[in-house]
Amino acid sequence: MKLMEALRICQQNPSDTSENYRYALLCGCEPLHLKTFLTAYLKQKYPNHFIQTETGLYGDLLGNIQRATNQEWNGVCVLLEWADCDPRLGIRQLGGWQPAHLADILNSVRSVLGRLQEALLALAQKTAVALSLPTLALPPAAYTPTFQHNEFELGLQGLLNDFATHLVQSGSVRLLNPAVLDRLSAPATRRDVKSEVLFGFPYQMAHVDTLCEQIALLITHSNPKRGIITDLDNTFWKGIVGEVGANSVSWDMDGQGQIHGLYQQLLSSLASAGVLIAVASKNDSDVVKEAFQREDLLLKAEQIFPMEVHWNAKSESVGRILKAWNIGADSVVFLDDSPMELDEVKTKYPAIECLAFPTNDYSAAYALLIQLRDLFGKSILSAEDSLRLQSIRQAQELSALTESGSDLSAFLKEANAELQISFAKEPFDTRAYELVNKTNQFNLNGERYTQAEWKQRLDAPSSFLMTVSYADKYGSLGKIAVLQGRKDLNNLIINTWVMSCRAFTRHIEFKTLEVLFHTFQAERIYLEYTPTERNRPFQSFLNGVVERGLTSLGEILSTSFQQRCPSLHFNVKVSV
Amino acid sequence: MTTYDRLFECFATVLHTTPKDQIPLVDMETAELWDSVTSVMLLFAIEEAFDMEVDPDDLESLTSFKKVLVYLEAKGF
Repeated sequence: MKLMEALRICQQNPSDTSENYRYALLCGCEPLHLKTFLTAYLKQKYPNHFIQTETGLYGDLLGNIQRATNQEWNGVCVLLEWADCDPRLGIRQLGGWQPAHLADILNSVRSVLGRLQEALLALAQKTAVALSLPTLALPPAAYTPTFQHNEFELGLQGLLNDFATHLVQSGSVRLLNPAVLDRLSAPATRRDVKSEVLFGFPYQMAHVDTLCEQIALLITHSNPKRGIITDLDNTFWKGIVGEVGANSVSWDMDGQGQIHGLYQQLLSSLASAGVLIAVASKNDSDVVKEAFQREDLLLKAEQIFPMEVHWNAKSESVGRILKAWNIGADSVVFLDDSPMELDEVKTKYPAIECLAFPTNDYSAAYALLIQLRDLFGKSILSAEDSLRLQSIRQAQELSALTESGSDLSAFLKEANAELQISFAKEPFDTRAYELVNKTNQFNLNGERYTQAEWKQRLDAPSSFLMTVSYADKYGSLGKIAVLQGRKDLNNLIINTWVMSCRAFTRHIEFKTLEVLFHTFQAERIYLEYTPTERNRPFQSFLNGVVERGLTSLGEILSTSFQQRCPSLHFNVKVSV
Repeated sequence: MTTYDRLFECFATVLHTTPKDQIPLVDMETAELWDSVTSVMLLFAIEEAFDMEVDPDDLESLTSFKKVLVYLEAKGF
């Protein structure tokens, strides 16, 4: 993006009724074009919102962070440079680069990084924080020639690594990956010496563009994709299994299929992080079964569900896979080496991201692996991530049981179902926040929240948060439901209620209401309901429990709820 | 696009609330919104639009649309 384009984007505003998103851009230099480009990229991300980007004082990064901690933001972007750690590491102050000064500079950087760490962690308790580590090279302060490494610069790098590691381990600060910046913006071309000396703005425009694009991406990143549907022949492995046989398809260097091996390795890593993997292949299912018995596969058959192998259209397979996973097409990536198959699926499911597997192009295939990591990458892994596939299998078995007319109530009674219910609002529950923002079907009103908005809701007087975790004799589903509301005399008003589709058909929603009535001794529960394109399952449930039909404030009476409630078989543990 | 048109676009974008017919007359002394930050914005916008670098010694004299236009024409644009 060029400066003029960024300025024009900043000058466009949505309608007067649009919501305001407020971001902070905190740096020690003059914010100038950083503010322009960051605002432009945030506006591109949220075209229907007003974007307000506020900056702090020149030369006072620590103070800017501390002052920001007392305010409400949708997100805070912090751009650290060496000059913020000690002005002698910039070029605007003449503090001396004598060899005798170097030890003192190291001590000062250690001390400043310690205070910055403390301030950043405090800020991250309140709002989402994205941090960029120094992007400009150190000045020629050490006594060695610049092509020779030295104790001083290694010492600084060590301090910075410790600082960054501590922040990342806290799980609350998102750190911009310097390696990605290096790939997109050559380190030697970043500094604008004239601008730094004359205006206190140290960056070349191309670097400002890259830095702001990446930090905007980092601060707004929320919902990664959730499932991959992969082809097999010349995608998952090299060769056509129906022609060469199960033992002759390859995914290693000996068989010239290394790039397919790397793809399997990435799929296996994604599967372990909770990404759903399915296969859609036009093949003879017996031959594919035989291939999946090979010991050297990097992604095992049990990590894949479902496996659609037949000669019908791929879009038909994709439809069945989406139904089994019970997620929207917009959360899924479809990979195939055939442009025709990609087109066929894209035509039927326009929301699916269809990616071609470039079989004979090593560089393009490697770029695809990076793209997949970016599409599916998460800031934090939760316990639920490792349970996802298992619970989807269970949900489908349960659904089949319901459809076959079996006695669901008897099944649930035998399942030894246990609910763990918590009303704790602290510490911040990232899984609850994630569920609220990605659940579509069992969702009271489809409202989405930024982290700051969600925290604000929880902090409101008389506000309560209820989270529900489920386990039975078949395994745990982890945290599957979140309610947020407030108490008003003998009534409860529910603003947010979501439940993972993996937990459907177990009557958890009924038990949730029963616990709510009991815990708060409430006479009525009001639900702030809005129909959405995708919350039909919630509508069906509500229709069965509310008084006088569905309205924007559905009412449930304690007395009549007891009559409408099915028999429930749960062990419930409630904690505050 | 002429030098005048390119320069007009730079000024109109940076000083976006100034009426278009006032842009050729705009002057740092009289334009309310033309402060030191605007000067730097204009400088970078002009350097980007003309793919050139303004000599730091010339900066202080570039205080109006007309003066910048004369400067650019003297530089061969």
